[in-house]
Amino acid sequence: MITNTVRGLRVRRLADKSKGTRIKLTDPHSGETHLMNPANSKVESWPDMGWIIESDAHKFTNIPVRTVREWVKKGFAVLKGERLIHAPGGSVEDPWKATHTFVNADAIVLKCVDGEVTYKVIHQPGKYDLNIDLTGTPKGNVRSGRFDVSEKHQTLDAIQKGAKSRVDWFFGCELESDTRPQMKV
Amino acid sequence: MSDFVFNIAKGHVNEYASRVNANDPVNSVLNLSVLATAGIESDAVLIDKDALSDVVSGTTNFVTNTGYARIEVDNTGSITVTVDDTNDRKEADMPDQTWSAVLAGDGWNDLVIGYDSDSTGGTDANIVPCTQHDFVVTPDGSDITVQFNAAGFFRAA
Repeated sequence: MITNTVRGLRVRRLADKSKGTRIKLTDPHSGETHLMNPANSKVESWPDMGWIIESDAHKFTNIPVRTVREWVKKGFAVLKGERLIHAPGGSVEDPWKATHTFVNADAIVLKCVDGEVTYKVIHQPGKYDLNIDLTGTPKGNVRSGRFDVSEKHQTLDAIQKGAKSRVDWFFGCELESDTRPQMKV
Repeated sequence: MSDFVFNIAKGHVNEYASRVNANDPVNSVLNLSVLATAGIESDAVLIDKDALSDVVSGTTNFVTNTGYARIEVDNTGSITVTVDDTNDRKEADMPDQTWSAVLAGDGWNDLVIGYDSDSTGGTDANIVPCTQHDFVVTPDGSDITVQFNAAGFFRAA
């Protein structure tokens, strides 16, 4: 069911388990687990069969930047119109002591095994003026909500004047197209 | 990834993340708070705590720096759940989080992610501490960003 509520996605990376076997190994120090292929004694995942979106492809969703980067690395997502922007992350006295770097994009295309889902990016990762809340209504420090298209990246001038800011490390997305069977949008 | 999962939350963290994502119950959130370096107790002591209020019932305290406030991540907060059949595991992720212009004061030691079933009511006694992450920072007025592991803030395998 597609709703107008902003929701996070639940995705699944499918595996081909028709051949071979894997043994789970646990690192005694970190507790991390890995799969080992006994046929070659190497740490090896099951063969990748692609990705699906298990939840609905919600009309509105927010996706963490880091998650998208992982998806791109693993072949599940493609960023259209990718570009970098920077914002000062230092103190009022020394704004560029630290620098935020944000990946912005026009759209995120999710390459599912049963079709492509395209999300238009309607809110970019960045540093925003806290006076303009995502919902248009101040909600303190809750990181949530839909987006006001009028919101602006915080300016250096505002930072130097000590204005409060909010840093968003996610893409705000609106479903643009869905080519999966029975999901045509 | 978490440095440890509180004993009370073992076996529950992915479910809590999914519940927040589904807004079921309504107003459920993941709650991010930071523990101060001064007075911090050992992981062996803290891992037994059953509520967020218990975490600071001993000598451990939350930080109080100007510019710091707890962060609540609700169903619109980009929590992403991945079922990874290729590695036989399930991961929960959320965006990195930034506190802007945190002034000097308390040294930061750990980040605690808790589950609050109703952010509109109750107290810290109603928040289940889920994961604790090493997060050593000396605030100096700059922004402070918690960057989660590429796999997310929690993984069950």
